Amino acid sequence: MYDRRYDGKVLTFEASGGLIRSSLVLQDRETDSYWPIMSGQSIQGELSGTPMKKMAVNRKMTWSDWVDMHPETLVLSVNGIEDQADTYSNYFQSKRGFRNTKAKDKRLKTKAPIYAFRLKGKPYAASYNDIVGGKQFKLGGQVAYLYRSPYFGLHDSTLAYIADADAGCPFDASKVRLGGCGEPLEGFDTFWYNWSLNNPKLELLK
Amino acid sequence: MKNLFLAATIAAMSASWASADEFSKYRQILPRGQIAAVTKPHYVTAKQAVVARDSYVLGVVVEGQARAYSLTLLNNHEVVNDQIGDLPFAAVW
Repeated sequence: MYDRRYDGKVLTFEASGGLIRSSLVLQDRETDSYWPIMSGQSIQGELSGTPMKKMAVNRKMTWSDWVDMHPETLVLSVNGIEDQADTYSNYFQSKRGFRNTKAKDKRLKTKAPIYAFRLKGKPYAASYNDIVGGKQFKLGGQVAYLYRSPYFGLHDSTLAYIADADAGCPFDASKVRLGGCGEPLEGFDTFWYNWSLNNPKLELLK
Repeated sequence: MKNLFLAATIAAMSASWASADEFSKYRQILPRGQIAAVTKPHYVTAKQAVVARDSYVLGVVVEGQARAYSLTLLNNHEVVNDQIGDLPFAAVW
C-alpha cells in the first residue's frame, strides 16, 4: 500500500509492463516515472530518486477472517466480479522464480518465502520458517517483532512491529497477534529471490 | 559552505548514476497499459460480494473505513488507485 502524493501531485500508478530482476516496476501517468517496488524508489523520470511512501495500513488474510473482523467492509468489484480464478496459482506453487530466475545468494532457496523490510535504509529479511510463533530482533536501538502463526497460509501477512529497544515493550506473541506492542513495521511478504536480487547487501535475520 | 555544496552535488550525482544504472536492468515484458490498473474503483458491501471464504484479500483500514481487494483481482490489475478521506493510495501486493 503506497501513498500517491508526491511532489505536490496525486499520482496514478499502473504496471509499467516491465520488470527489474523479475520484480514489479510501476509507472505513474502524471510524470511517467518508473517505480520498482523492491528497491523502493523511483529510478527514471521526473521523480527519479524519490522514495516510495509505503504505508503499514494493510493486511492480507482469508476473506472469512477479514469479514469476521470487519463486517462493514466494502469490497472491490470490477465489472461485477469480486473474486476470480487465480492466474498465478502455478507460479506460487512452483519452486522456480519468474521465467526461471534464480537467487544468486544461496543462504535460502530461490522461492523461500520471507518477510522483508528496511530500517534506516538498510534491507533485512527473515525466513517464514524462522518466525513461526514469533521472534524479536534487536537492530541498533530498536527491536523488530515478527510473527507468523503456524496456521498461516503463504498469503497471510506477517505481523511485524517496531519499537525502541529501551521502551521496555515486552514481546508477547499473543499481543503481537492482536496488534499490541510497538508501531506497525512497513515491509513485504515476498520470495527470497525477489528481495535478495534487488537488495544484495541485505542482512538475513536468524 | 563550498565543501557542503560540493558534497551535496556529488551525492546527487551519485544517486543519479545509481538510478541510471538500475534502470539499465529494466526489461519490458508487455506493452505499458496491457495490465489495466483500476483507476475508478467500484465497491459492493460484504453481503453483496461473491468471494470464496478461503480466498485471500488485501484488507485496508483508513480513518476507520475498511476495504478489501481480492488478491486474484489484484493479480489481474496489479494496482488499484484508491482514496479514503483525504488519503489517496495505491493498493499493490
